[in-house]
Amino acid sequence: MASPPGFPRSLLSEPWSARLAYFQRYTVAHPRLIEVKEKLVAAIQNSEPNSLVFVFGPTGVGKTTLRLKAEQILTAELHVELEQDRGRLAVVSVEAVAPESSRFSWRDHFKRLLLEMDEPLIEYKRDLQAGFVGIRAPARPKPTTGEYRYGVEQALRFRRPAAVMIDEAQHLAKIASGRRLLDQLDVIKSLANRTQAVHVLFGTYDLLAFRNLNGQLSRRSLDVHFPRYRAECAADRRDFISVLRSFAQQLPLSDPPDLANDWEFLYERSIGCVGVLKQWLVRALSAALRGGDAALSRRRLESQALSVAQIDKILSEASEGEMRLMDSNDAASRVRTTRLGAAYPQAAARR
Amino acid sequence: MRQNSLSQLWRGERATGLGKGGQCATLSETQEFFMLPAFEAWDFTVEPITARSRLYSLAPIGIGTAFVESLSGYVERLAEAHAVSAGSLIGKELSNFVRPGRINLGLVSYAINGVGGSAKRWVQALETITSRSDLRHLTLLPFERLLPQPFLFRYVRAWCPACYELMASRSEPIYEPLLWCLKLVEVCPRHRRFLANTCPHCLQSLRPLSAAARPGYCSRCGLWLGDNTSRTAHASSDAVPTEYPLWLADAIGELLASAPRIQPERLRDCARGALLAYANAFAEGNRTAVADMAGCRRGIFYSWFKGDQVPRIDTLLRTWYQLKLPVACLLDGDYPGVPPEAQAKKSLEIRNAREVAPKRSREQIRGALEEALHEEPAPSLTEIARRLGYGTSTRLREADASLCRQIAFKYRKSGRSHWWRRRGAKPICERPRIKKVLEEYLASDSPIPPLDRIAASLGYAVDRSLWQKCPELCRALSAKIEGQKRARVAAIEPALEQALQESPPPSLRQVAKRLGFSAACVLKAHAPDLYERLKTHWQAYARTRRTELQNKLKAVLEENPPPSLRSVYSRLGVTESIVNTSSQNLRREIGLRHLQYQRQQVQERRDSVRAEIREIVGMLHAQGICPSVPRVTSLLKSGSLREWTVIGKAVNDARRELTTD
Repeated sequence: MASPPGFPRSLLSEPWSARLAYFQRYTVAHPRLIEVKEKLVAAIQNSEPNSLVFVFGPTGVGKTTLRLKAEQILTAELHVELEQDRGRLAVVSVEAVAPESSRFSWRDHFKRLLLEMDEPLIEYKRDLQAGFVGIRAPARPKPTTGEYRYGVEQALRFRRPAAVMIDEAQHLAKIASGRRLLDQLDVIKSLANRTQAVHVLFGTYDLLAFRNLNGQLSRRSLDVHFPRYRAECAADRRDFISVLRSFAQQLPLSDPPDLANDWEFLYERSIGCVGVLKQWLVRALSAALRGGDAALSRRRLESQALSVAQIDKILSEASEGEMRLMDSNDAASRVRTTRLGAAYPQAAARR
Repeated sequence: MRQNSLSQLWRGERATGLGKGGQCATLSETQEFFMLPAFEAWDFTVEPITARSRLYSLAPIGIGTAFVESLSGYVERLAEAHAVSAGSLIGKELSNFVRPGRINLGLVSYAINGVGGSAKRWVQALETITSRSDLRHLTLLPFERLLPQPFLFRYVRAWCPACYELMASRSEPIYEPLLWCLKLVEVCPRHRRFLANTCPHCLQSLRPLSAAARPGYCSRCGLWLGDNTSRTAHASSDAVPTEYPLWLADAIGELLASAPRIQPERLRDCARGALLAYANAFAEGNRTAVADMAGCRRGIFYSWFKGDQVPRIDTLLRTWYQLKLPVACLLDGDYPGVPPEAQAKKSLEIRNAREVAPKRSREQIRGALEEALHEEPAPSLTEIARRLGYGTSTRLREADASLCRQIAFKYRKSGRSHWWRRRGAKPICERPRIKKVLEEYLASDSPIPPLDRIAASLGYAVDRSLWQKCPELCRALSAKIEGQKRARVAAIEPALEQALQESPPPSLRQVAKRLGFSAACVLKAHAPDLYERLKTHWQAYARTRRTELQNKLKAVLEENPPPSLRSVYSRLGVTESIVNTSSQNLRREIGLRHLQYQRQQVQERRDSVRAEIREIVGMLHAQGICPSVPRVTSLLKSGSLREWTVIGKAVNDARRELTTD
């Protein structure tokens, strides 16, 4: 098994900003990431055009990296069609921004979508089917939310992207009561329906609140779970350590560190999320390079690690999410045995 | 409950070796960790693709069919797709590409669908902005070489309500066909009824491309223009279109449908070639005959052939209609052959319409004679002469006597000659009938044809039998014919003298027509001095008329306020082409003066509304009310300018003045 090459040795003579940039650009293709990427691309390509795909996982696990890779794959696959039809877009990606007030602003979201699609004349959008606006209007009012939405629908209809990706979709749930939560998702659902475009929502475990709101949604939505590495599982342990070795090889230091030795500490302060781990290593590397160190000492790592309180918070959110997921899986088996009345050997064995 | 599960988790993880306890459990694992491989890196580079089009790459509808979409309709549909009004799209997006500065929608209209420079600029701009390459088929640019620029398009919008309903019922995208933009097309070829040009709801006529235009909807009231059967039928829809408009609509539809296939350089040659082939086939190359038949002025016809003038589309199509030519040969150029009987019949028709024997060269006659020599059954010389349009065979003998002798010999040998001597031969015509016909001619006053023509109409070869059967009648008739001829010739001089006295004097051709002659050279032959005098008189008259017109136009230059060109034409009773050919500079000057005057008017109105707004703003400010734009607008007098860019700017300026004061 030949290992991939480490960082180019010429980097050592470059200034520290270049070395830092090199490490920041590096992305390790660990097995969990690859597996989830395959699932996501398959989900986008095989599902019905108006379906929703939910991608959830703990914060910092690598969802944005996953999104970028999926975009690259979809763009590459559509390359021929994109060259033939210059009006078509491959993928539209937008981030659902957290609102300043307690309510999520759809108007800004639609405007952001239009900007992302390079749509001209955004301030002049009119819903021509809703009502007639004559040419004698003295003061042209700004477009309303409904008009921006109509603009987005038209844009998606004519640009026909392979998928619409909404990052940080947990912000959509920023509303007051449980009933309105369904309304929020209805907006996305009807948009997907009217434009026949696959919508992919990336977010934390808060997205689970959307998942099983009603039966119709459950039928037309697909889940992709992106979990962190769990230390209880031996295979996950091995993968995590291989990740550490990959990172260690790419750290542009003259004296490469042996991260695999300290794997327990590294796991503890990153709880198995490769994103959190990488950001930590970037901070540590930056401090080391600025300090002129030739190696990455344990002390540097400790100084740049997230505090225990922070880790606790992250871990509790992740665990809660994983528990909710387990609960719903149990609920599925409950449906099978009690509601549907069938007896399965797996259920008996688990008990 | 939640706390317990959390601590359970911590415990579980600790048990696997994270923390002080359990290190020994993972020692063996630690040893194998050093042999674990590293993972590959991911590369995020995307293969570069060409830039996306700025506007949606909408596919145009109907290319290659008669109902191809127009470019103005395409712009409207593009604006609808982008959820903006057509005015916003044109003003903000397209104006940068088409020409620098703002586009005035009032001047744009249908000309962008045409053949001029503006059409080319718009097509180029739209093709760049939508990354398409087939948009020139939405205009008449493929027919650039064939069609001249003016007279092509309407000034008001026209549509077929039934077509809109059809599109809506089939859930097809609603669009504006190019057919409806052309002035010539007045009926819908699909539904065979007149196109509508007033909205049934607000009863107003619409501009071709306005800021609020939408395909299928009125641009003034926003309601659906399709066929609403609950409404009572419009007055225009009761009228049934006649044959020519229907043919015209079909012909233009066919032209548009074949637009993608034509070769633009060959168009003018194709039209010319088709006419030439027709002339050769039917009128033996006599182009004047074809021109008369088509109802076209001869001079125009000749200039088409020479290639000086581009034919106007309406005259060209009318010619095609009169000659009953298929539209396809306007584009291909090769005229399809017609069966010889039809050809012969048509030639006879043309020839009889001319009333003059065709002029043939000796070679032509010789060629015809040689052909006839090999014909079966053998024709007689008189038959051949009649076929060629002559009364008798004298000219044939003049051309080639030996051939004629051979033909006659063959005819005699075939046994068809002297048929009247055979047993049981029936007379061609009974004597009472001959008598009746001759008496009719004698009694009538209209010009009598020569005797051998009468004989030919009765079925005889020569008039000998007539003379034999009714000699007195024939003598009287021939005397009458002589008398008529003399009278006609005698009438020339008095007619010419009378024409000299007339004012305005008639042209020579008119005098010839009055007398019943087909050409003016007859007059010249019989009365040459009078002919010359009338000619000079007429030319002098034409010159005085022209100078009169020029003086009148010069007087128009002094008028105040400067009138528009169109009003001048209608006042003086002339058409634009007359003025253009005689005094181009004057025309340009008059037009320029009028334009300047209009601009001045606009400026004055703008200034007056600005002064008014300043007053109103001052008044409102003094009363303590905020002078917002809608409030100021509502207080404006009813006749003042309503251009809201000017109004908005004036209000802002006035307010700024107030704050600085």
